[in-house]
Amino acid sequence: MTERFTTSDGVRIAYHEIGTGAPAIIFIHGGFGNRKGFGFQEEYFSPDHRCIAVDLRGHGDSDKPDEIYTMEQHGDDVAQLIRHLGLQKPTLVGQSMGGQVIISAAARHPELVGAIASLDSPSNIPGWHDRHHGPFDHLMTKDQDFRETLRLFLSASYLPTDDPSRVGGILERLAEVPDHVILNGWQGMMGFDCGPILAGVQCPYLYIDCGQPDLDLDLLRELCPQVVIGKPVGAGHKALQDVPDQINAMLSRFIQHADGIAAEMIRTGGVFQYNFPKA
Amino acid sequence: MTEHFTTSDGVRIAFHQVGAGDPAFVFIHGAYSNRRGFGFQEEYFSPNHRCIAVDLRGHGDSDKPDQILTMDQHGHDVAALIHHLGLVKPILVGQSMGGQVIIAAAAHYPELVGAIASLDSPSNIPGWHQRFHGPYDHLMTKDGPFRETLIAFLSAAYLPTDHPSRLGQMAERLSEVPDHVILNSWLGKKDYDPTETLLKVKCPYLYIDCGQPDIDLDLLRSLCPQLVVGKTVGAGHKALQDVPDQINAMLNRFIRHADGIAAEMIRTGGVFQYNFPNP
Repeated sequence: MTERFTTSDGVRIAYHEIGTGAPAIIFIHGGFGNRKGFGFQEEYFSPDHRCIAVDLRGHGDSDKPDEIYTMEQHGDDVAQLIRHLGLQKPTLVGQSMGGQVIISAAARHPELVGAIASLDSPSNIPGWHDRHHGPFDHLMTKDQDFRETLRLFLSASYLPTDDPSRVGGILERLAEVPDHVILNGWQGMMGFDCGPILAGVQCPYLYIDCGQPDLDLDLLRELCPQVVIGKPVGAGHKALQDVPDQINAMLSRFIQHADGIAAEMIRTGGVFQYNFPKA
Repeated sequence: MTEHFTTSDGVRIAFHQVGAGDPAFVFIHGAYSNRRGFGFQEEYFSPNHRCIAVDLRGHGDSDKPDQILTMDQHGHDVAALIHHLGLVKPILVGQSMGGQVIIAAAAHYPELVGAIASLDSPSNIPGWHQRFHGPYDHLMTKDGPFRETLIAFLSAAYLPTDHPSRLGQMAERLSEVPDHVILNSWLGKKDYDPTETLLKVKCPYLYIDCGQPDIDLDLLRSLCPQLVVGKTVGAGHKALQDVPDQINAMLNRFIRHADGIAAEMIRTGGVFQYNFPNP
């Protein structure tokens, strides 16, 4: 059932929830997506955890004000949702651009966030965004065929092995997104500088790497020494739907041992270290 | 139920099996261990797959001839087992040193092996063995403190977060391993270099990284371009027992799509690539 709350600046944010139990888990979709994509996770976690999925402003059933959608604003909206629901240190799970939202929430509202997990969010690594999205920036303006550029761009996140109907599905969803949301969303993503934000993230952090190219995970670790990496087998950007059993098992392990895992990452520099005795 | 077969050089090899269905699995343990550690995998896969677990020569219930236990010899024994059981292109799963055994089998008997998966087998990466095991060679002689050295060595595979009883069980298992097996097994990997073997491995290959330090996966990929890598969250060398849900889900995805995944790895150079269109 769709529920709503209103932010301090008057924007109505839509969400739904299922299940009970702590910590609660908030699922946050990617750019131009919506909250409907976490069904496998809700099914797996709702017997033991309160699960909430939210439409970011500009997306899904939430209001779509004509303003640039910054990651910081999305993060503040998530913080207001946490307060609205009275959640105690929930785990935030963000897919793709949702990864930028959860680091913003964790850095700006550390008292509200228990742990974060980003799924295939390469723009959480400083420099990646400029290298891989930057070249399209000049095409994503109102005077250009920005819809066609975005269509090509999002189609590219499907694998050659994916069912063509899935690519069709994203295009159908995209057709419902107003022009101003596409342009505002793109500007918000392009303007995001994740470096300073990451330096402020102190809670346990899981990064699930679904096989993006050119990922400098060492750089991520420099800024967040507590980061732990998981890598699923045989799936790409749509791993949430393609290999939910792998993703759910990783998230479950992380949620159950988040503090211990973070401490071990800091202690060993990012390995579960084979502590060789001195020869 | 323990079964046996006899190799062409007269060594009795013990194994057990459960389940039915193709492709079959052959599970291969690490050094100084035995075939009893794959219970979670047998439980998960046996409803749909014939599962076999084998004691390598010198280990468990198999004969323990006084000879150097090379990886190539173990690979020959696994091939003999495949012949003995009439398996058609089984999946070989090797934990730790079992990873060296399965690449030997796949390289020497490509017609017998369908796909391979090594779990936390860093010695499969050229140079790692010399860097991390080499410094102990001088202690692992019959005149040296080889048992204490080995116990210290194997203890290091347990995490600070592991229950101490597990260390005790390992020490107890090791106390049942004869001196000559310890020394012969160590000698079997002295100066081990997997390079030539890896170059001959053409079947689909999954490497599950459980967090060893100093893992040069790019080097492994340069020798086996079909390689796909998975990485577990929140577990180390004992991931088979600690996070079986993650391991089983990875293995399951891999065996269902082994050829497709291998082709995608070769096509993209090891990523599930976000195929950005040309701007």
